[in-house]
Amino acid sequence: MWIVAHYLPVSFFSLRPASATSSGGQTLLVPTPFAIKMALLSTLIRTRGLAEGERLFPALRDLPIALEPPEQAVVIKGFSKIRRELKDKSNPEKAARARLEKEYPFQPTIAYREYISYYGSLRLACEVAEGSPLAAVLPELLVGLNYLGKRGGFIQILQPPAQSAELPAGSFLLLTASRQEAFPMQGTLQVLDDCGPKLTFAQANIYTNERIVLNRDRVLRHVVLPYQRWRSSHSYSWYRRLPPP
Amino acid sequence: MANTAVSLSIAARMTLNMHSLNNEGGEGNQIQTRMVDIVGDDGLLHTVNAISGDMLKHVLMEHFYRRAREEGLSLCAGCQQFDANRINADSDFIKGAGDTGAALIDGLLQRCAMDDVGGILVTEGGRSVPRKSVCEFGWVVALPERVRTDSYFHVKYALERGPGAARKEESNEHKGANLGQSIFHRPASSGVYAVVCHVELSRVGYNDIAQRYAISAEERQRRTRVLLESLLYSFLEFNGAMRSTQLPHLLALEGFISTSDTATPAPLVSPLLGGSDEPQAYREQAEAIVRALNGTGPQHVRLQTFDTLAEFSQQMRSLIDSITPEAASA
Repeated sequence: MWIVAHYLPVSFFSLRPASATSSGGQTLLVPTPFAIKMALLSTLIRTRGLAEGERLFPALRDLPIALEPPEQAVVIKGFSKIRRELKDKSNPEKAARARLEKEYPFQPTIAYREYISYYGSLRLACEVAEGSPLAAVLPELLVGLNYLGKRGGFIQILQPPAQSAELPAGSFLLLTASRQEAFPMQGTLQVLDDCGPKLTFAQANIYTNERIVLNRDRVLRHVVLPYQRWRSSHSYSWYRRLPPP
Repeated sequence: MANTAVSLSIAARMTLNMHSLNNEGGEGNQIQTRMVDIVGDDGLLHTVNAISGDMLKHVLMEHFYRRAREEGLSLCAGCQQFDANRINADSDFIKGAGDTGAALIDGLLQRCAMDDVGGILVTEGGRSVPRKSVCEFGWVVALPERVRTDSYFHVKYALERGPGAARKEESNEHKGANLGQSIFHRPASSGVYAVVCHVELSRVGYNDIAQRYAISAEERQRRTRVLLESLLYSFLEFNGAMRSTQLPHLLALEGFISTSDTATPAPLVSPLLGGSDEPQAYREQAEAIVRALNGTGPQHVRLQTFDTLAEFSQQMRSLIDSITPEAASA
């Protein structure tokens, strides 16, 4: 059974890929399965408490997710002022000077940032088995999602999620497919992260010291998105969604 | 009348004239204002002026800082100096901070209202403990076809002219004094802008690690009140760059305020929706969403519209005087 939620993008979306550095961060064109699952987990903990979050985490981790991205996406490129941790904090002289300048432990600098302005709505579909403990909770979690990626990247659900036996018609793309499926040649390849099958709740919890090992606990999926680059300049790249095959 | 809320959202169209609140940098003597490329409601690409969400967050925190001091809210040593490093600059706190993340966040919430509301990442001592901000802002983006950006010529006029002055100027140039006459170009934009923000009222004073409140209900109420007042002031006094000579003219403000008393987030719709042709479309969409979310059951999600700055101020005042922050989880 698929639970399908329909959202309207409200503000600019931004999500840096796993390989990005703090000073030069390109954005991915769509939210990754990892980001979506962590957003759902955050909503779950906020609404039903930590114990329920831990109980339902394995089902959430293994959740198959399909996405119908918005019709158009414009990547906005620019520079922003940020605060970055002082590089040589252990040097007492440097640290003392930074304290005097109110620049300890974070100092001001600039960084390259990309944001996406979407046109059109997006749909998220999650597949749950009839007896899954998530089946009753997931609609409530999808209603509770109000941003994806970087904070301030708001989305707004249009109505309570619908249920259907099959994935609805449209331009849905299965983000969590275990093997490569047919893809449009004009599409855009992106590397999206997802939860590995052995990822534990303690590792997903950002407040513990448990480490996440890349390619084991967090796996990278090569996905061809149905987006074709239409126009581009130094300040933007404009993508349009390809028609369904 | 008591009025409980878990979250609050504001979406508005704001008419700002002759402002230069957010600039991206300078090239030579030209200041580059912030421009973004978006697809408008007509499905076409437009380049429009914008103000980043970081800027709005800074504006809010500046107002919060002033109000917190007036109200005698607890502030850490860093925030008392309006230091952007916040509690990281409070060496006494950092030295005595708890061993666990939960204990550290408890201490942070009890010590400082600004770190509570604005958030911070504590990295000292090999840690990485985040406090997520309670308020979130999207980019302020101008409506395509409803904005103009231009560059204006300015001169810094030097009184002394002639060969003697030129020689003096030349010798001063070497010292970097910059005393001579110079020309420069400054941008100014006028238009209708879309603003969106969301406040998680239930998280004021809430320890996300321990999943409980670290401060009393009275203190949460005080902080919530100051936060909402600061949010109101952020619209009344829109801080930003170049205000000493280009204070913006705020001509109009219309939009909606939504609240929710459950975990369903207070709805938010971009005021860019509808473009120039359908100026009410975003409010109609928001009203339809509220009806769909509430259904025929209890009205947990509420929405009120405003058409003027005065109406917005009255509605915010009424919320400030009546609202009680609720907890999201059981």
